[in-house]
Amino acid sequence: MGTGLANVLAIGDEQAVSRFVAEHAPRLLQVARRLLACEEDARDAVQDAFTAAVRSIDSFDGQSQLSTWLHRIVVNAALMRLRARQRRPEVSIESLLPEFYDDGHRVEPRRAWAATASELLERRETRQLLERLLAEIPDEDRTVLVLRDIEGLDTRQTAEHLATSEGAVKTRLHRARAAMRTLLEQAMLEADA
Amino acid sequence: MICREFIAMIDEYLAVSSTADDRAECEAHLATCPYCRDYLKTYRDTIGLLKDAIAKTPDADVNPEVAEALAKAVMKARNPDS
Repeated sequence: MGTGLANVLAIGDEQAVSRFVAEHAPRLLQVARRLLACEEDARDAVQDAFTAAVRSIDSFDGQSQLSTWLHRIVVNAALMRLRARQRRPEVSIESLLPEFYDDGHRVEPRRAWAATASELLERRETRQLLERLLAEIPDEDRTVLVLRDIEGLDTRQTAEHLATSEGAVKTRLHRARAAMRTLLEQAMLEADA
Repeated sequence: MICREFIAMIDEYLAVSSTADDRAECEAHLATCPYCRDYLKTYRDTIGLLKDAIAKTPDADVNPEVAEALAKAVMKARNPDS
């Protein structure tokens, strides 16, 4: 059994391999970029993913789509690169979370940004802004945000990828969303000023 | 309910997965706290933008040199002795 990649490998035709790569690499690179926030690391992760896919093609049982299988492999490859690379200087996520007084009320809350979500969606620069802000989230928190809110994995799938508990995923997701909100708020208020 | 408690429960509130009592407490707090109403709006907007703006971005461009290097890696993995 096996489709796509298995047939391509069986044939061994370089042109077929190139077409296969051209079909799947864009999606895989997109995922790797968001997880790693570094172009070079992302390309290396995609290469790792293709290599791993070739070596484990016999384990692909065709029960899922080939693209889904490759997606899982590139997520794992990117996570391995994240664990292996030296920690970059990062903003502490604590500084991006809402602050509270001892009585539980928020410290100096700001006004919500004026634009509605649909207005923001219509602006061409919104996507670029979001991608830039995403890269500012600390690695471990960004990972959960990417897997849950962008790649659409559920809590259980995310926990499996990260070898952690579902409770830990939920906690980290909440913090990552709050941090992203703060970064977006800062950018929106600067733009409105 | 105080602001810290509401914000701690915000994901359950948005996912409609909180208990009926918790939900009622959240809504009672929102009725009296403009700051948390604002926070809820911007928090919900943020999640929506991640899902709608970023998730639906067209796939990355892969330049020809990168694609060629990837294809070579696949060929090498297939034929490690060559």
